[in-house]
Amino acid sequence: MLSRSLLAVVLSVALASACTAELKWEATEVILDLDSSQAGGEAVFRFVNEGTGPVKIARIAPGCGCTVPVLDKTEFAPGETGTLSARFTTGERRGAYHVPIVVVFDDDTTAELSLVAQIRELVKYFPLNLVWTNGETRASKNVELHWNTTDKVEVTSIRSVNPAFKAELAPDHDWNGALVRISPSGDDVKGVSVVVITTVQGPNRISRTYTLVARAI
Amino acid sequence: MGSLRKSAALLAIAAVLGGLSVTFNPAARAVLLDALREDEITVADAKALGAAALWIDARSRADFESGHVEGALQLNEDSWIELLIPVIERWQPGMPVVVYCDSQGCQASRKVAERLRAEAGIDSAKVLRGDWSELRPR
Repeated sequence: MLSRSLLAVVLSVALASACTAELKWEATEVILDLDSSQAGGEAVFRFVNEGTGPVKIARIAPGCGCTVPVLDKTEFAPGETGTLSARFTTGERRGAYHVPIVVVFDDDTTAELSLVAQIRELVKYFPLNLVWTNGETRASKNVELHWNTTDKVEVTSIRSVNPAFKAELAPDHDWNGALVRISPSGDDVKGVSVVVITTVQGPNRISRTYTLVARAI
Repeated sequence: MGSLRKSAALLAIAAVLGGLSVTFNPAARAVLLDALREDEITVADAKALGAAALWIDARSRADFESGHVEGALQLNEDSWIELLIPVIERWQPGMPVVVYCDSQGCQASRKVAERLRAEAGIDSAKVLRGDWSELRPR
């Protein structure tokens, strides 16, 4: 009796595995190496239907609004190959992203793919935020921007959300980059501002914006 | 003796199935194997903070508009600059910050909290461990 139950469990697990294995993926993870001058990138997942019957893809669910899946057709005959493309948009994103993409078949089985996008930043800046402590003189403070590329980078605008903090480009620097000077408007200034620095980067002049926070306590 | 063997065998089957679940189900793996990280906060602890915390909703605009924690501000990477400004203006040094999104597997809240700490100096930004819907009044 017990051995029959055990056999049933083993068979169920084996059958479940077989159902999801009809599409064989060339790779289930694709890494996109991007830099901040690129608006995005496309990951291509290739597959072949190794089963004996047709496979129908019901829907594709990416784990992030940053990724849009594109499939030319949804049904694949035995032996047929296909591709699933996933378009990743860089937008205002920074760093590394691991985007799961769940492929749901019409029999409710699923396959999980993974898109890893690594965005190399072409502008490094520091410090990322400035603080004037209570009682500290409200003297100007600088933020250094360094171009992490030989391609052209240009600062197109600098804006301080709070007018009590002035933000401007300063000329006195000797590195491949820029210098931004933040100045509270007086010694009694208390509050916070977000400074928005807009650049254009690379041959396609992609706009990339950086923020820093200036706070006087 | 027979029933003892039967129980042991059933326990073994349960262990195998549990193992399979942990191996193949990322959500189960996260719940069972991940301890609370330093930058995370439990639903219970977050609830205890109540209105003393600044609540940040890291989901999409559509999700935010369909319901959110009362008083929460929206902040996501689709419109980072535009949404960051009200967050910075609302936050005061020392104020706890709880960032949430849909579920344990949702990465948006972690990314937003990381950026708040790194780029805005909000060291108190924590990620809600779990689904924001657990905070809804029953």
